[in-house]
Amino acid sequence: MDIKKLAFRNLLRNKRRTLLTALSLFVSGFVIVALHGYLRGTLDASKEIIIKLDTGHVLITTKEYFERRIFLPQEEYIQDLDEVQKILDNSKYVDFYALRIKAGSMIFTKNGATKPAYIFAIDPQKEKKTFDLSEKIVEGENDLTKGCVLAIDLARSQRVKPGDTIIILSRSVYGGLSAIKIPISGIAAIGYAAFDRSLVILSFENARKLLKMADGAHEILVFLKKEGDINKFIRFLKLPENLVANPYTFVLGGFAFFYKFADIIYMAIYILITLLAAFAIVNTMTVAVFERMREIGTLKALGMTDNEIFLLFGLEGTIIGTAGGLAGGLAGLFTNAILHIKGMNFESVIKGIDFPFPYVIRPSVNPWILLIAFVIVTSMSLLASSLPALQAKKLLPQEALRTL
Amino acid sequence: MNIALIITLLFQQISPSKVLLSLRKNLKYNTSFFSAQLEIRKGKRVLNKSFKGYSKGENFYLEFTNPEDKGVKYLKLKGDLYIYLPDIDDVVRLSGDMLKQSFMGSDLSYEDLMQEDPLKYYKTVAMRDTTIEGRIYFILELEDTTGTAPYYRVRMVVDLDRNIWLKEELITKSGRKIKEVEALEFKNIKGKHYPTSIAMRDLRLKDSYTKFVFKEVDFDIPIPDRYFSLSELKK
Repeated sequence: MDIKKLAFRNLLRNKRRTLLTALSLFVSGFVIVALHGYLRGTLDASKEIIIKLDTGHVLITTKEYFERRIFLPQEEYIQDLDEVQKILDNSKYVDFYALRIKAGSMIFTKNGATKPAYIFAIDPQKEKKTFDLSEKIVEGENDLTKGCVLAIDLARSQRVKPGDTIIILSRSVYGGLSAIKIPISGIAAIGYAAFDRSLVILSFENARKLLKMADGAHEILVFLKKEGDINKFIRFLKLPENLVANPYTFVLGGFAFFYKFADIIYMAIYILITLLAAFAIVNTMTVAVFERMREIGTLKALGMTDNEIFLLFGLEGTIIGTAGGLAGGLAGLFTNAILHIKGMNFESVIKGIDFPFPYVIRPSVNPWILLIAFVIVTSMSLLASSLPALQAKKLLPQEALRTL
Repeated sequence: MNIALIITLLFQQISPSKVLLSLRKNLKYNTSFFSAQLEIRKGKRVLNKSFKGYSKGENFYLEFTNPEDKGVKYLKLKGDLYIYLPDIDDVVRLSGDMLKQSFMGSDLSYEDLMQEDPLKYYKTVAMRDTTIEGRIYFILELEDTTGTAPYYRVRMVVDLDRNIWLKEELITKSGRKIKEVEALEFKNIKGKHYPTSIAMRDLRLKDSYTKFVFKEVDFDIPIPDRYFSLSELKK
């Protein structure tokens, strides 16, 4: 007897039941792939923001600066940049590096308004790969030699526009107060709430003037050719004694734990979804066994063995699981691909959150997750349909026929 | 002296509130002139600054004289704090949260600096005696009654003999000690003991320490009102 043919015929005989079971598996396959794409996309985007704007793959600072980094201790800066730059220029692991000057400040506008602001000095020409300022400008221009660039929400809250002059007040590296008067050359939409609320982008020259630094920078963000070389790079790096190089995973501290923890939570969610789908299969197949008692009795009376009965019911479940899971997974992958191109804008939701999430999230499109989802759904269907199949196998022909 | 003091206290039935009042009175003056040095330690870094200034009532003016901050001037006028910055040749007014920030990188905040009578917010909730190096001092526990004090609770070691406090602990409502202030040296000026060397530590900052040393201090001297004006600040 061709069990496969029989299984297919049985599935087609009760189309509604087959469709409903397949639908639950379709949903679980879809959810696994789509959810993974969305969550991976969110976490990767968040990590990318941190690496590109805040840490690089490796962050070089003075020891004292690193210890008190969250307080932005402007006086603890790298004074001899040439020496470090020479080392980085000669490293085979380094793709490029970016200097940063950072400081807490207060801005004063012509209408008497004041607001705390975060000073961020960059070289826009050298940071095309990490922080392309020209792409973010929404008003004015990105020429930092002519003035500063204000983040969009900060500019709106202070009611200033390009051409206006602001006073930036900060603490100099000598601990005293210092200030610069500077025109606004442009307004930028950074796309990340905390930065859009507080960022003032300056040229190195203006930042050094404000902080009364002769030369130097607070941080050197090192971007490696391969992220996997972080530990090798740090091991072979010979920095001056007062400097430290830390991988971004260490710099992130609590955030790094969050990313790991999120991965565990998401795995638990996938398992839960799959279990729910498996429950649907068990439910449907058990009902199918009870509905088909007469059929089981007849098949057994006609000489079908217990193992063939088990195989038949198991196969039916697996076919539904394979078809439903694969279709759902493909649909999830397709949805992710469309959303990746279009982007999902969560600006209104994320705007009040300081966590480094970009406003626009693009789900990741990973064909491997389709395979994983397919394997999970199919194996769960196989396992789930085994239970009612075992039940069917144990039935005696006369018992099954008596249920007529 | 100690026994005599205790007996005096017992007989006079001096109350904790009277102790607080006499402390406030001792630190009260109409006008003042001062020049001081500031030593700020942040980990291994030491910053030295100097300033001079004068005060009248609730207003004060001070000007930094060390090379790095030369020309930076502060004016407290009718509850507002203005700063003249020579870099921009302009005046800015500090307000709101900015006042909670550090004064020139020290452990003192602008809010601390602006207190003309820092003990006016408090009532004494406990007083007990203690012996330090063989001398009896009193420990006063003060609590904010106005809801506007920069620190909810103050614990201070008081020398009733000289009407001065030797040490202060500034504590939040949750009981967290956030600052320690210690008077290291005193000078008798016109019959009043005045701390001329004060050490301060903001315990929220790591390895942070500030010492104020008043080189010159004088009280109740004539100071013209015009010194306390925005036009004078810009000169």
